[in-house]
Amino acid sequence: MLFNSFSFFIFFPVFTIGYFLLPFRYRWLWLLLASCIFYMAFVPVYILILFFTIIIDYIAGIMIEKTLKHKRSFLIISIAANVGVLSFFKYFNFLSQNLHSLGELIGWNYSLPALSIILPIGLSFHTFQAMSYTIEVYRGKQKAERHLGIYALYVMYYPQLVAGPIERPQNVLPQLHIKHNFETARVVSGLRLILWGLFKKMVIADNLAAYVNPVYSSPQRYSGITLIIATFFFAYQIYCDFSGYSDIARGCSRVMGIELMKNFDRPYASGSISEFWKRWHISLSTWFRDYLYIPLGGNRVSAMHVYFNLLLVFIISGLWHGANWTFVVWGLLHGVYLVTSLLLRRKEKPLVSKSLVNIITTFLLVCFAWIFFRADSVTDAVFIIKKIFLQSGSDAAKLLHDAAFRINMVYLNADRFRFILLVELIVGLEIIQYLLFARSDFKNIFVRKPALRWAGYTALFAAIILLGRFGSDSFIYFQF
Amino acid sequence: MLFLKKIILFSAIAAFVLWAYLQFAAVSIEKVKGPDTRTQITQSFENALLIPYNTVIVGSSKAYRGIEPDLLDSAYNFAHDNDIFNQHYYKLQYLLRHKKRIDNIIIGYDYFSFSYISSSRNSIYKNYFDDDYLKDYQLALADLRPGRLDKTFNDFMTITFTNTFKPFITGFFGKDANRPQLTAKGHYKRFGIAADAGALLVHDSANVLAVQLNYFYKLLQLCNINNIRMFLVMLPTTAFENNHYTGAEKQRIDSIAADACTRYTDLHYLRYATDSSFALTDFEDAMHLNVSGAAKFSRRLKDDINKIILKK
Repeated sequence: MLFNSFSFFIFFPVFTIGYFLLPFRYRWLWLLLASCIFYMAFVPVYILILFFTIIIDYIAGIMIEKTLKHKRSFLIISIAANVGVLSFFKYFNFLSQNLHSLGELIGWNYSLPALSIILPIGLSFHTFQAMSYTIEVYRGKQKAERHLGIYALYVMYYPQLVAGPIERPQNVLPQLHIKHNFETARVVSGLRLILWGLFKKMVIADNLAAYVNPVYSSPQRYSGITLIIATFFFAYQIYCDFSGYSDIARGCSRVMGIELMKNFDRPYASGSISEFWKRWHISLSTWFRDYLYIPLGGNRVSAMHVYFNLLLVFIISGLWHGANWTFVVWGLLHGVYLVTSLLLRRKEKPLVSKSLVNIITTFLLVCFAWIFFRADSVTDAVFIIKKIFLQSGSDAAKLLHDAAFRINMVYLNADRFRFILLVELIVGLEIIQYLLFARSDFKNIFVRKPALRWAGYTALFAAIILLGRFGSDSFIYFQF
Repeated sequence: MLFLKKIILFSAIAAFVLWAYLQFAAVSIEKVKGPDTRTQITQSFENALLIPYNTVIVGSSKAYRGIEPDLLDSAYNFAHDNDIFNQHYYKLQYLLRHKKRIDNIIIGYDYFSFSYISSSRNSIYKNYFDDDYLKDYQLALADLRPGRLDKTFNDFMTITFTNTFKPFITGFFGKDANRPQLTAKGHYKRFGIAADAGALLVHDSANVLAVQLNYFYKLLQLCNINNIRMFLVMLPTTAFENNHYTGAEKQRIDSIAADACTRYTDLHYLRYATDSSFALTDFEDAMHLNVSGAAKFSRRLKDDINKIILKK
């Protein structure tokens, strides 16, 4: 079930009202039922995979806590079950194809049948969330959950089940044990977040997708300038798509009294790549930091070791996104950016000042990496990069003097109205985010003046209805 | 309670804003997109009874745009977008009920003529048709499936709001001289050229639904009883549309027409689907003739119909 669907428009109020009307002791069951219905709206049978890992991790958690001697073995069993499921569904075909290609290179006739299965939705998210539970229990930072239903709810909690944020047990489990009463201020705040998330997803991301998708589907047909514009647009498409989802998820959860972690914090205002990763998909970057980078040695090892660890973590992070070399290169690029910035920092004065130049440079580097993330193959990505660098100069001259070029290559078949709207939406988004999240005085005006606040709600609602795209494809991060 | 009041107040404000938009936008949109669906159908039904003619045209959007009644002898175009055989049948019944004398009927016939049952205009059609009309639209349990509900909702929102915003803004600043027009005799004129239309897509299927096949024969029977001469006309198609269907699908649709011709002696099948005299410049998109294409086709149709009548 998509957050921007009519079904969810019915589902959410029904289950939320039921949640507050039910006695506290039944609420976990109610939420679990809601989560099952929500997940089964995609491919019903895949709920069995969730049940399988839930049972394994639930038992592993208790056994880790109970037995000192075998706690490591139970942790390994839990991780193996989660990684096994993830590998089978997500990486089997990728591995098979690459082994086949490698076999051809060395003259070995290798063939494994390809699996024709649909990837369970949000698999990477809930397996990572499940793993964080057993790891935290193993580390002694979290008590094993004795209530199977509550533990199942921790993994399956519908607002964050299919696209995060990837939560930690310390944050969510205690909240599931507490009774949350209906508090108007909190509920309104949650609804506001839902409205903002829907605006980002349906108005900005989906309209940008209509420009980006045809360009990236057949880059051969478009000019270097078009590819640059499509790449910038994709940067905002993926941001609004994913952060919009996170906002709706957090908003829904907040209405019910369960606070989820913030996943995005104006990432394109970052002055460096390391800052970008503190602001982009925060729940995943902190997951990799806590469960992979630090156990590998973190910053406490030699410089060369740190560089190696960074590259490794980012390559794995790329693979987490999808079984495709494009994601591996995307991750590797970010790793290279970070290593390079560390190398430069050691030799020169630290780049701490967050000037506009730093922000623009970081944004351009991130956009360059997005080319690999969005392209259908590495070959396509290389083609796009070549075209951008070799052709954009001559295109720029055409842009100024050739109206037909502007119509065909910038407005994509005479739709100047849509193009201008997209640019306005992006600029508007950055201004609103800056004023609302970086300037507390501006936010206070909205708090003090209800008329202005209500005008803002109405404007957002009207924008969603009039400019939003209904029935667009699902959220980008669902595929991961 | 305060929260509930606030929710109700916000819903009321939001509803008012959308209502105001729909009222205000209608005038602006008309300047760019021509008359809206309700206006088109209302005018079509009113003029169908007021204007004198003896040949009526029924059909889908292809006939609605592609046949110019002014170029035929005493004709009226009663076709409309999305119309299919059940609507054709009830439209003819409507005319006969109102004592309209019809000598000839031109029935638009397409590869997709049996493939769907359209409810998109029912809120207007129910005011004109027999009560029996809606019996074919009994709410099925399948219609309540989340996926189907989502699609219905999305289609409604897209048609009512998303697709109207750009014409609303454009119309606010001026009139489009090339906006679609509906003539008094029911021809819906569109001016574009397919070559400039960007992506040329054909969405329809060539399935044969039993309900539509049934209405096809009911329509022919109704004409037969009332001594109405029938011309089943497959309008010119673009290569995009023609290639969209398989040979077997096209053959099946043709064989239904051929079979009907053997049953009714006063039924004539005129097939222009692969007529090479119509180029992409005669179309406004992948499926519909534009104004000049419609004029060219209507003259040709008039000649062919006259030949048949003279022969008889």
